Amino acid sequence: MDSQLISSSGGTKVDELPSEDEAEDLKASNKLKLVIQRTNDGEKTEFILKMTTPFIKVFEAWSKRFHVSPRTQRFLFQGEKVLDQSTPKMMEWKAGRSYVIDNMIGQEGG
Amino acid sequence: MGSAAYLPPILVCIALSVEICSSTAWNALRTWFNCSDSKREQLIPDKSEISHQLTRIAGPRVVYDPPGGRHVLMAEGLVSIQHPIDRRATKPVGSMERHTKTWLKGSSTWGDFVSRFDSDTAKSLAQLRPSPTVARDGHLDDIIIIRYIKLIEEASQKQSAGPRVKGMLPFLNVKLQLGLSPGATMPKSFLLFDYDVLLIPVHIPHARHWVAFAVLVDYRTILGYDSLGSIGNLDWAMKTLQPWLDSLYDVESQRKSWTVRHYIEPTQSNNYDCGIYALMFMRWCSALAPSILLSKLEVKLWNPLWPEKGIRSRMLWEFARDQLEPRGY
Repeated sequence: MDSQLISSSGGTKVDELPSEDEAEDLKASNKLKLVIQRTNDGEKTEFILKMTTPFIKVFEAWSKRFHVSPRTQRFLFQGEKVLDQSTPKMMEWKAGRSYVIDNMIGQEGG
Repeated sequence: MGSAAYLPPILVCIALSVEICSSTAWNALRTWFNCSDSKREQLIPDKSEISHQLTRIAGPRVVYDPPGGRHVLMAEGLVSIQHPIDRRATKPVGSMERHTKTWLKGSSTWGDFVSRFDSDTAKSLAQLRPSPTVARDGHLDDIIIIRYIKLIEEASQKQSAGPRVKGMLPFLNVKLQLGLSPGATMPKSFLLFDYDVLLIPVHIPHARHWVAFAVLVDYRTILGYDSLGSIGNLDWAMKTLQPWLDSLYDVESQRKSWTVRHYIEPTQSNNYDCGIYALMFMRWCSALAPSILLSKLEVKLWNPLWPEKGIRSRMLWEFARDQLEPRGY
C-alpha cells in the first residue's frame, strides 16, 4: 500500500515533527508523514506515504473521505500548488520527516 | 435569352463578396459598426498614434518618453517603473495566429493542443477559448491565474533592467479573511524587499469575480483594479491585505503612510472576462506589457470572425510556449 491514512483530528494541533521513535521507523521504511490541513475548519488528516507515491493517491483518498471532488480542491505547500503527479522524492522531501499541506477550495470567476 | 445569361454576373458578384468578406477592410468595418462612439474614436488612425492612445488610458497613468525609448508607468506622479521598450512590439506574430487558428478549428485539433498539459490545466484552458458558449462560461479559474502570473514572474526575471516581480497565490486573501496566517500560501522564506512589485490576485467569492492588486514595495503604494467598477470589492480585500502588508515592513517604514489607488476602468462589458482584465492589469503593472494598452483591451479580447487575433488566443499561445509573447498590439 502506497499511502495510509493514520488519523484525522478535528482542529487539534498536529506536531510539525513526528516523535523520535516514529521518525526512526519512518526513516527505516523510507516513508514520511503528510498532514493535510483543511483551511475552513483547520481539520488535519495524517497520511504515511512512500517517497515515490504520487500525491494524487493521497488527494483522492482525502477527497473521498470528505466527500468532495478532487478537481475542486487545491493542495498547497510553501507558496506552490502541489501537482497531482509529483511525488515526495520529486519535491526533495526527506524520509522520516513530517510535512504539512494546506487544502483550499478552487476559485473561479468572471 | 435564358436564365443562364445572368449566371456570369451573379458569379462575379459572389466572388467579389467573398473577396470583400475575407479582407481586413471588412474586418475593420465590422469592428467599426459593432462598437460604441468612444471606441470608434480610438480606431481612427492617427499620425501620433502612441500619444493619442496613451492619453486615453484609464488606470495607472502611462507616459511615453521617446528620448529614453522607455515606457514609464506612473501612479499619479509618485511612482515610476521603467524598462526598455521592445522595439519589435508592433505587429502580432504570424505563426502565433496560424497555430492558434489551427488549435481552435475543432475538437480534435484542440485535443492535440491540450495534450501537452496535465488534465486539470487542460480543463481550465477550455475556459480560455474565445467565444464562450453555454457549456463553457469563459470564467477563468485559479489554475490559469496562477500559471499566468508565473509567466509574468519568469519574464521579469529575464529582464535585468525590469522590476523584480513576485506573484502571490489567490488563496492568500482567503487565509487572511479567515484571520489565519498565510501558511502554505506563501513561500518558506519570503523577504518583501527582494521584490519591487507584488502581484496579488483576489477572488471575490460572493460575486465569483477576480480583482487584482499590485503593490509597489519601495513606494508603499497599492494599486487596485476592479473591471466591474466596484470600489466596494477593492475595499473589502484591502481590509485584510493592507494590515498584512504593513506587517511585512519594518517599524521605521510602518510610520510612512500608504498610497492607495483604486482603478475601475476599463470596465468589462460582459460577465466572463474579469480574469483576463485582472491578469492584463498585473502584467501591465509589472511593466512587462508596454504595448498592451488597457483602454484597448475590450476590443482586443476576441473577434467573432477571427478568434485567433484576440487576447484569449494570445494567452493560449503563451501557455503553449511557456513564456509571455512580447510582440503585438
